[in-house]
Amino acid sequence: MSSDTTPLLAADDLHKTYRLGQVDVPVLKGASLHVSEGEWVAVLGSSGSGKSTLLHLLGDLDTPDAGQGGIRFRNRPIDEHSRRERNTYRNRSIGFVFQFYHLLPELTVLENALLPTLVATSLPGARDRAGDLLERFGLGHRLDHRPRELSGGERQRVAIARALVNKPEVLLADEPTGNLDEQTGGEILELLQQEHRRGLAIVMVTHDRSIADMADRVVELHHGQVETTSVVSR
Amino acid sequence: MYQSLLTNRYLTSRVIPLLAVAAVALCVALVIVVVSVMSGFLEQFRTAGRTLIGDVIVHASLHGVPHYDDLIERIERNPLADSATPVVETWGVLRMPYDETTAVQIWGIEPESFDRVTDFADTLYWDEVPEGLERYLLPDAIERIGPDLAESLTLEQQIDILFDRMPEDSPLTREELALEVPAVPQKDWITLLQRLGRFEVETLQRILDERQWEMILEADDWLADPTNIKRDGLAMSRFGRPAIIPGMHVSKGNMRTGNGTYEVQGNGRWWLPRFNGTLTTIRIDRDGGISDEPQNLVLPFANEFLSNVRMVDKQRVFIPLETAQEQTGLFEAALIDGGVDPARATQVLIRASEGFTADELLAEIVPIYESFYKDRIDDVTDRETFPPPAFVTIQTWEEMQADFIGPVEKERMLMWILFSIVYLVCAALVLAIMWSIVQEKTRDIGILRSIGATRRGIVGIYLLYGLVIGVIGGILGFFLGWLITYYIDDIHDMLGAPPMWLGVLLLAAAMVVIGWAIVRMRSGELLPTVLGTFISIPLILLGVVIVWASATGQGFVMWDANTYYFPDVPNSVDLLVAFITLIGGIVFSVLGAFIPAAKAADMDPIKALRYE
Repeated sequence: MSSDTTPLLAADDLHKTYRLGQVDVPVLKGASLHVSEGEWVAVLGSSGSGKSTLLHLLGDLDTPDAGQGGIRFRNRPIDEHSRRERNTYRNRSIGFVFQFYHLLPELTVLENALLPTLVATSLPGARDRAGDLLERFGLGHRLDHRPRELSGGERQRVAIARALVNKPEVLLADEPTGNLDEQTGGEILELLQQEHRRGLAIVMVTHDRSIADMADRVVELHHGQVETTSVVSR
Repeated sequence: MYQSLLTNRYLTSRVIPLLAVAAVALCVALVIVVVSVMSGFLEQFRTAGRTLIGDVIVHASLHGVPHYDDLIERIERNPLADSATPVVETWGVLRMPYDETTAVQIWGIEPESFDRVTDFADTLYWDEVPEGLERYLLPDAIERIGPDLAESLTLEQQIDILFDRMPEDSPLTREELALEVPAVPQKDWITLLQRLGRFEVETLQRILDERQWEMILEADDWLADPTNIKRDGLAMSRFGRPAIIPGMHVSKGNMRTGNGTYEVQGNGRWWLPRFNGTLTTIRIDRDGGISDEPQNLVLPFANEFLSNVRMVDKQRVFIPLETAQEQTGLFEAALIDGGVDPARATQVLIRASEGFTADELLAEIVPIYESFYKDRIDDVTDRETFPPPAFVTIQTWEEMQADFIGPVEKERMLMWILFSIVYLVCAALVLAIMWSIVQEKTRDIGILRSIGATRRGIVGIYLLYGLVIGVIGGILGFFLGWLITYYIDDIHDMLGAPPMWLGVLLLAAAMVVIGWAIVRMRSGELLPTVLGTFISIPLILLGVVIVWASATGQGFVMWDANTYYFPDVPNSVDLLVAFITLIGGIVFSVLGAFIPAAKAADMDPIKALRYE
């Protein structure tokens, strides 16, 4: 909520309740978050605070409870998108990076990175772009390898390359370093930083304050609500 | 596009889809083999129903139809009828040379017209005397002309014969042997000649002169020309006497070989056509009682026939019509009070002209018999013995064999029901396997959804997967089924006489598996032990059974010719049926994939991503 201009991605008053057996468990209770173009926002919160759920809602992997708030991308509510447009939204407008990489084990490094371009009609030059990304991420020599032959850091780079191959405007990263040692995690953050500098907006979920501090802005989530938001000063 | 990439990778990087392919292949092969064998069986059955009976049969009671020549003439005047032939049918007992006695169905026929109606000549098995049989025919011929032949021997020849019997180091000279000649009785000369004929034909031929050899050949003209056996079969005569033509399986001496030909037991010793047989028949009077003493009739065998219908080949013998009439009392007889009781036939078989069906012909024959009866009833002294149209059964071959064909039609129905089950099994296998693949690939589905894959796209992956499994499995199954069907008789024969090497091979394979299991077991793994046990036990059992069967000469005969009427398992693949089966395998594979595919499409991406 930093500028007067229309945010790129806006979530307002999001509610999300999961049903566990007979019990309703509210995870998000009116959380709001605005992300501007090219902005890096870190969502900080402890386990169970609802940060991953927020990310899934932003990425349209899940839908908020009906009747209360919603998500807008470029000022257009996502729930007004047709089913096809929502698939395109996931495919083109955002890129997802997960804690556990989530690569397809049967595909090679290059194929994994290319997957979003294969799922939709591919943008021109997709293969070159995937190759360039992987080259830039230091995986140029491992294009034909399978994920199981890579280290954790390398796998996460492939996942980032996959998230970026369709030139999304927002990268949604769910604890991208959560499964990596400090040094490798640092390298991954470095890489995200580079992409951010190229103009990519990032929403990164983490429970680690020091990692969150790399972002432009840190949002803290407590009990399903955004409690504080702070601009990181450098 | 990603669907084909993923399908390709899922197929090539896992064992489960190979199991699905194998399952589909086995289902398709199974259906093709079963359909082919059953269809072939039905087809054989239908053709067999027609074997040796023509298209339409006029069937009278045991008393037969008098003036059948006239009936046949009337029938043959009809353009729908190609030819007709009379038959006298009765039952009797045949005694064979090796003291075997069997009940037989006796058909008295006129070979020429019978051939025109039923292609009888094509079923005669022996086109010539089989090789190696000369050594039995020669002594028989010598026996027949024995005294004359012995009489005609010159002193030189007699010495030659004796000399031939001497061991090589015998001190006796020809001169000394000549002194022995007068002491040899005539019957010994015959025996010595027979012995030569049996074991040293060339020596015999060298000793005898041309005229004597000629005498022997005249005593049995099958020796002069082995192909005369065919002629005798067609004429149903041997040595100028009426002769019997039995079915190939009437005699137990004929053994079928693996390639469908016949071998005679005892190195040809029990070859029926060199013997006489005794037929015993009973005459039935008009009231159904025995009208006379049983008739014994000794006749030579002139040939054997093979119709490939086991039931017929096993119990039918042909004899000339007149002989049969004689045996059954249906011959032409002068009546005490003047006049003649005409000869009769119990059946008239009719062949339809080219292009006409049996049913069309049947419609013509019924009125022909009616007018025949009306015209000729007054020509018979005892009108009661002339069967009126109502008492005569006129049927097409299909109607006549309805009892024979009906159950098989029912079996075919049952077969189709079983097929649907096999297809369901195929679909269920694909479903189960795809279900487990979807389960295993749950996270992949979440990932794909997170990067924008549509639900339809996800469905596409699994349908394509099912399709590819169906196509590969179907094609493999097609060829497997074709191969099995094509070689089914060889496979069956192999089961009938399992080779020792197969048993040894299976036992060796079992040992290798056990060795492997033991080595792996020592590293503490359980799976190899279980696998080793599951694989080696059936191998050992099968191996032991085969070794035992091979050593003791036992075999597994599944296709018993006595049960199925035919000696061979039908082995022609109906390509259309096979193709439909292939398509069915593909369709049911895709259908089986539908449910897992829908499940995949319905999957919540978040839950899918969290799936461990």
